[in-house]
Amino acid sequence: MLAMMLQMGTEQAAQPGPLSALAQAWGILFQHWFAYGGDAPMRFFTSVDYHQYFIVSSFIFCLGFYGVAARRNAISMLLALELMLNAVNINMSAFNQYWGLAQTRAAFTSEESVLTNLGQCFSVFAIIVAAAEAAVGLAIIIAFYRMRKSIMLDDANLMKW
Amino acid sequence: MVTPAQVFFSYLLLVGLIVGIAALVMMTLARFWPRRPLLGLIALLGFGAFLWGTLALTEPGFRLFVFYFWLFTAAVVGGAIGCVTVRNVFHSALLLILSLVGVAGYFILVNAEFLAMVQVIIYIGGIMVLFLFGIMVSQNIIGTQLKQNTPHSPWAAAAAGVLFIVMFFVGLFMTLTPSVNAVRDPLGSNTASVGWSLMATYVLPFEVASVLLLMAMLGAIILVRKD
Repeated sequence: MLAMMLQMGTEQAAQPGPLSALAQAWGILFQHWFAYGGDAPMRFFTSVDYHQYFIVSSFIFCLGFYGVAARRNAISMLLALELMLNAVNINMSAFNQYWGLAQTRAAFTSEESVLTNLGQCFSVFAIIVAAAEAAVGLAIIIAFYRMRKSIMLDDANLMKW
Repeated sequence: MVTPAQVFFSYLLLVGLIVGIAALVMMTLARFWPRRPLLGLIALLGFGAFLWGTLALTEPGFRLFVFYFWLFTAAVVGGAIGCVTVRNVFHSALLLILSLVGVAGYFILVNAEFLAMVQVIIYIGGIMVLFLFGIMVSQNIIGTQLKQNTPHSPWAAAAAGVLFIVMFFVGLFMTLTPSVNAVRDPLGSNTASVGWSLMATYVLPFEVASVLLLMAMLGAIILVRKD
């Protein structure tokens, strides 16, 4: 009797049910935490890699998104937009540092590989575009303020329907 | 063997513990601590420094680089949170400047010194001063206690939170092969490399960006011109 029950138990455990599939999926997802001998959460704070830059910049990006979506004031919205642009700049320069494309030194004589600074150049262009955006955006806000005596976006309803 | 970094962090740990305990005692003695958010912030920072110093001292191969990273992270994240939550728009712009200073520190940490200087000179010295000017022009309308959020802001917060959770897990489990064996900045300095790239490889985007800046300047002048 006992042997039969044990056998049944093993048979049931051998068949993967929906819950065990879920546990397997979560195990696959979280096995990276135990890759360094179980101190991955501590290692997150005591070493700097591209993960940290990505997570901080994604947090800044989401804060900027919240600010753009939730603020009524047009200038506050532009400030939040600057936050989003800076998150992108952090990401581009950090990935250039840690994952820059290695190309051969075509212009030089040796065969060593060189890090491109494509990410940094792209950040320069992003800063240029941010400057243009700030100038034109503030000009639009000041023109709107002259017309309606307000910079709240709730009042910008002339082109609504 | 005691490294200089360990000495530094033991002092940080001690100062953090003392500051945290002092702020907590002051908060407890002054019974109106909800009206003193600054004290709570100082206590939080002190205990954070204590915990983090403990963590850093127990790690064998610790570098000072990591301390600067988390210092700049505190500036960036604190400034950004303040920027999107504070009601006074002028204070919001000042907190954004704090956040941009932290981003300039990040640029130093990832060997982009030219970008750090551009960030300080153009972003903080140019764009943010332009923003402060725009705030001062319309300041009589802004008001310091006016409600600045739309009624739909909880939905915006929920969407941003979901986006951040997704991006957090992506960043945590992202595996890339870092390029360690490549020569960085073959021209000697970062500024020389970026300048060479801008003038040789990416000269067409550079010219297009100059045309864009000219158009923005003309557009801004035309938009704010009195008719």
